[in-house]
Amino acid sequence: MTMAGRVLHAQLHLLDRQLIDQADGHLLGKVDDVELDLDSDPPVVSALFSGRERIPAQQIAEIDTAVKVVNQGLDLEHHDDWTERHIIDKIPGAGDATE
Amino acid sequence: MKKVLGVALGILTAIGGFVDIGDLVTNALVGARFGMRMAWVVVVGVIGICLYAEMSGRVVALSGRPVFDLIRERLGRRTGLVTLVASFLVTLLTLIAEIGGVALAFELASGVNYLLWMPLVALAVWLVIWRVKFSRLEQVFGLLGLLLIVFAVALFKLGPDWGQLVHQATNPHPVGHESWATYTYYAIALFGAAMTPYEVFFFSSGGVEEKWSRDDLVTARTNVFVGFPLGGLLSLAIAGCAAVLFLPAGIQVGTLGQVTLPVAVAFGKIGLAIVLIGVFAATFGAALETVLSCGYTIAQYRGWQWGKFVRPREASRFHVIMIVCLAIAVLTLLTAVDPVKVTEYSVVFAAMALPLTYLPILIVANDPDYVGRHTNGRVLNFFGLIYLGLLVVASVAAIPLMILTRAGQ
Amino acid sequence: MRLNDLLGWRVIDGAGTTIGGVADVRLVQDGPVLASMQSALRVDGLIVVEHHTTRLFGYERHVGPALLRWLVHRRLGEVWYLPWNEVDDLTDGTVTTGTHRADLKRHEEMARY
Repeated sequence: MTMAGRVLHAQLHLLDRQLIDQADGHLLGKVDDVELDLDSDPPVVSALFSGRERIPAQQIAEIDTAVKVVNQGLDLEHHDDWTERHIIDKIPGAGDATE
Repeated sequence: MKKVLGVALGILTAIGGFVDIGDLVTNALVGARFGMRMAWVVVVGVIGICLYAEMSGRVVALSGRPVFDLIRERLGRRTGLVTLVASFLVTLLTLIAEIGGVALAFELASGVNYLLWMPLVALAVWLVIWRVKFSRLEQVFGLLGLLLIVFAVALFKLGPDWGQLVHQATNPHPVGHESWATYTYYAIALFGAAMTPYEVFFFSSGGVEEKWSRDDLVTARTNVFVGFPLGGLLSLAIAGCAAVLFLPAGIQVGTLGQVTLPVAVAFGKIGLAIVLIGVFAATFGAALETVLSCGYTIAQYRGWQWGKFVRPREASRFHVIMIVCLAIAVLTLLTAVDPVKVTEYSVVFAAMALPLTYLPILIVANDPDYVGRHTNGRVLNFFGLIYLGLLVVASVAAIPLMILTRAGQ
Repeated sequence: MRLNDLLGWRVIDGAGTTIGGVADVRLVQDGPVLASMQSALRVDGLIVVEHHTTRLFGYERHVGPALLRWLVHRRLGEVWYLPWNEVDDLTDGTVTTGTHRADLKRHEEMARY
């Protein structure tokens, strides 16, 4: 899927957008900042930041009303996993679908 | 039947705006003090919430983005955080009141003090959130809440002087020893309650829970245009009953028992039983709506996984937020604070939250990036702007009026 | 460089006159092809507004009711597009360009997509 020539605005279309896992649709956080590599030729967007996690531009799969990323080698769900292990998993029924 | 179940989301959302515990008492109080002279406010409120709920429903069906995503995207991190804090506090205070409200309904039915019921109520709310499917939850509590229609039936049974009620409704001004200040204070309180921010949070997130897509635009609209007018109707019926029974006698209303009294007068014990089930369902439904909205807003602001459409462990932080909120509710109520009074304080935060919540919805509903060709028409934008203006005016006036009238006394 | 740092920087022209502040960065998806088989987002230029920076409306696409747009545009003042190749220097919160203020292109004249 190429979208050559598409015009985007870094703040308007990237900043504060929802990050979604391209593979399973899980919500991964917000785009908190955008890294611009101004020294390369041509200057490009080199990464997105969510919290302290850096998402390289190569892993951006789709930019729409949300930003889909390839969730490989990233630790975006660290806090959710921690909460899951230490709190939620201790409550019976945490892994069951609702009825 | 399937059609009826399809609008359960709209009905449950509207219950939180028009007949939750704070509104139940305020509606009856206003009826007892002003008769139907405040009815126009409910009508204005219904139109306003319909406009904005329709926009948020359309945005969610076409783009999948619920309201707090839009707030963060349009207002950014800092102003978004201000909106989050203000609207979260409104929602949390309302949740506290609802838990107390359900417990009060049990007290009325059993005679056992509400403080003993309250922890059980909080536990029951959590169990429903933890185990029950979203669609079932909205259907059960939305439809049971409709039992409050018994107020409308009771109004007929009480055989009021209809001409008198119409006369009141068409003469919207304070009478007797009531001042313009108190009249305006209650008008703003009713308007603010009708457009309370958690309605659009819950409605739009509910759209995601139900996996709305482009094909569900009609469903979204039907929910809006059935649910909210119905909520407004219930609200008017409660005020009408109080206007007939309490206004001539000069009785002030301040408790849930007084709110249900007109139905008991009209239909005796059976009426009372029905109205108590209705009150239970409405307050319990509003408790679900507010506790879910607490989770939705924080999770959507931060981008965390949320929703009942995934297993609890997949949205662990979302579930922890709701558990903490319920714990806060129980602890607050244990101080024996009057649950009905709690909602009055939420007016202060609502003043800040209301314009900041609705502005991003209006803008995004005009943005083809989100809604394609289904952008707002000129008429819709005109009314959207008028209501935004009304919300700003109400916000600015709310706190001074609250101090001036000592919260409507 | 981080976007959040760049936003709000002062833009001055060769004569030292302040033009405005950086409101956004215009990107065009026609950079080098990445591992994801997509073109990189190339930094095409800066969007500079005369007075205040606000993000609310998507100033460049004129979205929203006319009255609100009018209010916002009064607050923003002029909105200009400063092509990247006309940016001479970026240091200490200031963007310097050799282009004179009068020669800048209005942003509304830019292609939207």
